[in-house]
Amino acid sequence: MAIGAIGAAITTAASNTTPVVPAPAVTGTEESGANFGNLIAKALDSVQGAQSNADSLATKAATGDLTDVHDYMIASTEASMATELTVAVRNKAVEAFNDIMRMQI
Amino acid sequence: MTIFGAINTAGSGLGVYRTWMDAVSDNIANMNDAVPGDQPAFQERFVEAAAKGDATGVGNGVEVKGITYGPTTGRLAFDPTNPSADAQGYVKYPDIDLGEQMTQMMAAQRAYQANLATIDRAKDAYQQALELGK
Repeated sequence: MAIGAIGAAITTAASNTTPVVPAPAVTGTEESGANFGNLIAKALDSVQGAQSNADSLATKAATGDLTDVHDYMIASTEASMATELTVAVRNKAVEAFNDIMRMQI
Repeated sequence: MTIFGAINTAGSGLGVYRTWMDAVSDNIANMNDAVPGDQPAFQERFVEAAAKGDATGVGNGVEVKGITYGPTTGRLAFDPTNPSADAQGYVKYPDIDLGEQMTQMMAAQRAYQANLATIDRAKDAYQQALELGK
């Protein structure tokens, strides 16, 4: 299932960023930056997949081709929750960035 | 299992119980079909459900394995005025008991609601997990 990729992406990102911390500062930031970018790209891809799935089921509902009402409701719930998860991850990332920018040197 | 595993598992249950309700309503709709006494009567529909396994061993929900049909014997009734009656004046009705069908309908409906409740709880749990970071 497409949504599963978010969970996988988060696990990958976590395992990739953890060993970066004790590494030299310059290469460390580059790697984690690239990994975080990949994570966001993957997460957005799966959110996009969930939303297009919900969209196609909504079209089916409108045209009368929908066989199961609960299929659409489940797809739309998953799409909205995957979006919420992405927004939560983004908020955390922005928060971390702002914390670092506010740091006194 | 993926992050929305519980929701998809309960979703498969919704599909099976909807099929069961479809089968029961078909049985009820055809309950009074009269055929000539020497022909097979309408056969009661039974939905066969089977577990869907997955690699992790937790399971992956349920699916409709197939539809089986009841006997064609039905019950004979002597009704010579019926247009469907055979030469001896017999018609055959399906051997379907309305009380039993209504009981099955209630079981299917309650099971459908139980799966909806599972989805609701899983959704609440995921949303509360998202609250954790706020």
